[in-house]
Amino acid sequence: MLFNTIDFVIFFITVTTLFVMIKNRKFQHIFLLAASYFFFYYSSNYLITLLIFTTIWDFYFGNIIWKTTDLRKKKLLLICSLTGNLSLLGFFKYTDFAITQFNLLGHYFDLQSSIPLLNLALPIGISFYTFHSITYTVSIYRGQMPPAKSFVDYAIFVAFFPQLVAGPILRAKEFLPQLREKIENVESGRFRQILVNSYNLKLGITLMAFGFFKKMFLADNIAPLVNEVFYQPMGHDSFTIVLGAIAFGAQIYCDFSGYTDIALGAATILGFKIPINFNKPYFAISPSDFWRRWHISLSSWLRDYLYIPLGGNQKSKTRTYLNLFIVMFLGGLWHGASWNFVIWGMLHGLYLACHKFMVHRFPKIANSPFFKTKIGIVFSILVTQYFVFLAWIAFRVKDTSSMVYSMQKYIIWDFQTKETIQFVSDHGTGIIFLLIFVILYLLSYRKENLQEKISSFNLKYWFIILTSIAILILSFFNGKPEDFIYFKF
Amino acid sequence: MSLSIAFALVFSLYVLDQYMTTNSIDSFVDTKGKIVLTKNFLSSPNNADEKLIFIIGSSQVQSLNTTFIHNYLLEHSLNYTVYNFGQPADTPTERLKSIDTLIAKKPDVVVYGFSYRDFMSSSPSELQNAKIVKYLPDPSSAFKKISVTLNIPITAFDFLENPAKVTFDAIKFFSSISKRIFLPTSKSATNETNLWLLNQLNPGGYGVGKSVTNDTTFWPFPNANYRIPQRDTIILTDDELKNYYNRNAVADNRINSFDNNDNVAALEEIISKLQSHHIKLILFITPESRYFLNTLGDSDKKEFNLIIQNISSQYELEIYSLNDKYADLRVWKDLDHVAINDNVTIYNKDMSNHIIQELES
Repeated sequence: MLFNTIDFVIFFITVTTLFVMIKNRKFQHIFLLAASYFFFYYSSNYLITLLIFTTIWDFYFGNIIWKTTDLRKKKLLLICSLTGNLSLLGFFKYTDFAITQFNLLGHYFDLQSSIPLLNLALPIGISFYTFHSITYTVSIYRGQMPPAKSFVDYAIFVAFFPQLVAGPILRAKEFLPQLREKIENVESGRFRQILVNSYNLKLGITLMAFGFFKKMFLADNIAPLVNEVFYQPMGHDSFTIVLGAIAFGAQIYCDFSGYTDIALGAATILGFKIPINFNKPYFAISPSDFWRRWHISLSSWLRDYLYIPLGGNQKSKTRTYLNLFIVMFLGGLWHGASWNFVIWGMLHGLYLACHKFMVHRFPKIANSPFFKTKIGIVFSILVTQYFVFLAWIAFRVKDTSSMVYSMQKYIIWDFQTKETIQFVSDHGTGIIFLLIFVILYLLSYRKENLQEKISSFNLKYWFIILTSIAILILSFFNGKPEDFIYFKF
Repeated sequence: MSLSIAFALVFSLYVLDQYMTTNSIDSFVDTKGKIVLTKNFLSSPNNADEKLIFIIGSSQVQSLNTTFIHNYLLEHSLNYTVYNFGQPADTPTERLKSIDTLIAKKPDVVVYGFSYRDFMSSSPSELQNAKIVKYLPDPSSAFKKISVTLNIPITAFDFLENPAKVTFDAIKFFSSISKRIFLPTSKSATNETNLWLLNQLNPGGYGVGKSVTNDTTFWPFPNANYRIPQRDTIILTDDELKNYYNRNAVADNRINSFDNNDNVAALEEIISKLQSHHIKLILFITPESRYFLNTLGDSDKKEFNLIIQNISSQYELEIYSLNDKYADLRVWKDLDHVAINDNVTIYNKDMSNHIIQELES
């Protein structure tokens, strides 16, 4: 069920209305779980069994790990739990990819036979709910939290529908307490009803409106421009490729952060707080700063569950660079079973490692007062984003020869302008939307918590703003809901 | 210091060299020019003396050379002006939106080429959904049936089918009015483009009915020399095609069945409209390479064949398939597009022969 379809609108309104009507919190939890499972089942049919299996698997292992006192046994149980989760993810996501690579190798060595593909359907959200489950068992193993008392509560954490399909990746120790808070009567053990209050409602609707605006007004209208450049990039001039890379950066940001805003808004309306996923990433002044601002829930997950266990920056410098590279390599692979995502991840690993190396090797330059000035900050942003958008080419273009061509044109400019001018002239609409995005993004530089500020306006002005956003979205909607890019992962 | 100067000098020479090697202005019609020509043609009055053949379909029909076909028909005493209205990523659903405009030009013959892709789900979520076999009851199809039965208002208004188009048309309308009010003496950009185009074309100017020449390589319109991207002219070797194939996984269940396929319904409506206006319709399956056919699953092949059989029997139309003949030929620029190359005339010849056969029957 896509967020930007009538199906979801009807589903969400129905769920929220019924949610409010249920007085008993316990039943609210059961209802929320049923709604989340229905949401998943709507698109995935029988594959809901995988979600249920993951939930039962990790709930069971979480309890056993907590009860076990023997450290060695604890570790073994954790490994079992992780193996189960990652095997499921690996099987459904990477089997056909592995077979394709094996067959390619076979063709290279002129082997006559090839293994037929399994043509497995990728269960929606498997990358995300697998990572949710991992945070649960690992947090219990580390003693950071006790296991969930109720299976229903844990199941809601795994399957919570606003973030089920494309994140943000929740942490068990941050979400589960929200399900147990606000006990009305400690003696009776009854929990107060989760109320949809006006503040949360206004804030949630504002967030969702902004999300739909980013996705449907900006991302979907910039997409045709990107498709034109990268459908067959061979033959395009450098400036066209650069324009395409910037447009794709704008598209994926609006698409993904738009989705996150909708997820945040839906969760807020239902009375839950989920982490933000973006913090103006295109104002990042270094690769590590970029990853503190882009897909924050994933980067922090990779830091806490991969980078730090690998040693982080506590071992030698070389080991630190290697750790960064490995983490980003796996991060790229997590995005999809395709070499272009791996290359994208590796590029970012390289950026992080190089940046770290430069900071270590040239501390005087790294700490130079120039980089604290306005010009220095602008310079840092431009250099960082130059490399970020270069990596976006790898993310967007699957075909290796097209990727190499595009990256080469991006790095080594040919200064041809005729084709680019013609291209801009042919795609004026997409250019205008891209310019609107750039202007709005630049204006947002010093603006913090804009959605919260708008939601605190007087009801009349708030309504006018939201209606204006809705009219803009509707006026430039082409009638066909486009997929969210991160739904593929 | 001298090193910096040397570097600056080399860099400047490099920039200058790149700038100097720009393409010379030529007389090719580019994409924008083609759009202008198309609009002009579709809005110009019909010429009762002229017999028209329109070729429609996706990018797979775009490599058909209208000049070649016109000349070939002329050799068989059939004088038709041929236009190629192929559009990349076209599907019957998309084509249905503009078919009325084409019908208004009163073509004598419409040649419609389609293939497997025309009936496939295209978006990643639809493709994923297609892979998920619905073993359990499916609420999404139940919801669709309910919304169709109850005729939920949101789908009933034309505006909501494509609000963006209405908005852009409104912007263009107000823009043209304001230009007329505030800049009454200046020529519009469209007029300027037209004049430029006319100057680039034959001295007699753009005109329907002018005879076409034999030595032009490719004209989607008569008297319009269209720029062909170099990548479209390259004929791939078998190894190169194999590389393409290896990067595309075999997929199945992308074609919904005949009675549950929006594109089939759209195609049927197109056929009904053309037949009700007594326009001769020639349907054909565009050629595909062997490697493309190998990426198709059995279910998709079966569904496609059922669609073809149903359309053929329901509307009493013979649908020509070029797949068997073309699958192993060396004519491909990629898995499913014939190259636009002077050495590849087979596609044009075969289609010309089919048209002749239909016209003489």
